[in-house]
Amino acid sequence: MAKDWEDNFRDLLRWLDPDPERAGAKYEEIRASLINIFNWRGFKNADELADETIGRVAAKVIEVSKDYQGDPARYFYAVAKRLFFEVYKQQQRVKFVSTESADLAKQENPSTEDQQDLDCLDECLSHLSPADRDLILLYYEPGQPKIAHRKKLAESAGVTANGLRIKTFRIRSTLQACVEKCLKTG
Amino acid sequence: MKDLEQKEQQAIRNFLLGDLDEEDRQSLEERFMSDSEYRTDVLMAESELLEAYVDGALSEEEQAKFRNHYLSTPRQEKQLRATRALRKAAGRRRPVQPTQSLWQRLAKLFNSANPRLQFASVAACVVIVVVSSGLILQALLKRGTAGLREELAQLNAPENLARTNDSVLAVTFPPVTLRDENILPKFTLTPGINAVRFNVPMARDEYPSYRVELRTVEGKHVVDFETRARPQNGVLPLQLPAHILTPNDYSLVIRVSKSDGQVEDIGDFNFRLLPPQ
Repeated sequence: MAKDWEDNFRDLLRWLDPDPERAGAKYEEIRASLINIFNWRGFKNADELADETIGRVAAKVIEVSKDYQGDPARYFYAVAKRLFFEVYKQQQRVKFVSTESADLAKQENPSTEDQQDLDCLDECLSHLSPADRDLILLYYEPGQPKIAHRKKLAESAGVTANGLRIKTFRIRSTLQACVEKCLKTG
Repeated sequence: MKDLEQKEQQAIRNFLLGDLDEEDRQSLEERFMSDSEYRTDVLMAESELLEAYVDGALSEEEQAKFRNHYLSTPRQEKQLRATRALRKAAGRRRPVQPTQSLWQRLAKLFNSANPRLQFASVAACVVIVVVSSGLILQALLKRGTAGLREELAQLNAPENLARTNDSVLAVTFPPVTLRDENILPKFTLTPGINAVRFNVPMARDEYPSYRVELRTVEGKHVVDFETRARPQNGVLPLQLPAHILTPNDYSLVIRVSKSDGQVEDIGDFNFRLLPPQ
């Protein structure tokens, strides 16, 4: 069984791209996109559902890859769509009970959780290059008229406002992944 | 064009707030899966929505949708926590401002009744400003360069070259015999990519180190560094931080020092970084 799965998975990667490195990158991109979509649909177990989708595609990859035209990512999405309707039927939309209202109340007195977030963020900021660290902290500096502040920041960094938006978004994504990892392990 | 962009931005925000009908939702999700530029747009919009919520910049209705729909999974809750933490960390920065007493003292000098003292004060201030600006600029440039050198050294350290990492995008140059404009490596930098690993074909391992220069096709120097990485299976790995790359055509020029002390170009490898949008 495990052997079958391994074979299927190898075929799946070959279908994504004949070059193993590019196939690996494409696979990660598809998995991350599926996780996002399941999350935005309110599924708490988005990672599991993304893996279930990939498993279903892998099980059929030999026959599908023969005739399928176009971007394989679309096929993954079609399978994911069937899966979330199946899960919808089985259960009501899984509601994660947000602690947001409690969060609003405790903002004046930072809790251990807030402190943990900040500690992890500090740790992750220290892994960035000094230039990226300065840029992201300046970008998110509170209490500034946002548009004017960021326009000035873009000018001093020698990029367009949109260029700055993209650059800080990339830095932020890296930080986000690092903070999540840190919170899991910490 | 602007209207279209605004409409798209609004559609993405509606999607994140759970305000799209099923058909539109599916077509947005399908595009998110298959269009990498659009994927970046959606993820950026998500990041900006979180920021707007933390800043209290959403309308009451949007805030309610944000809490009831967007914050429906632990992942989204974590994203919100990270955004808040980032705002707090950024807020801890103290803007560098001259103290009030210094200004007060300077003002006293400028307002002095003695015209000679006034002139001398202004002249002294001009000299101080010019000299200190030069020193600060020099220090900043030095700091920036030193930071980048350190980053390049780390990225190209053997232990980092040996490690595979999701945040490193691999770009492989075709062997010299196959190189032409049609197979120029082209790529975009997607979110989460921190570095690019270039696999440079290198048939022989005969040099102790390589001098690498990155420049734009127009010949503008971007960065140079030395690496002691060894070619493995005919491939020399080189890693560059993603933040130094902006969409353009580039050349990686590899040079070596010969035993007679002469420096020789042993290859240049062109690639194209495509814009994310």
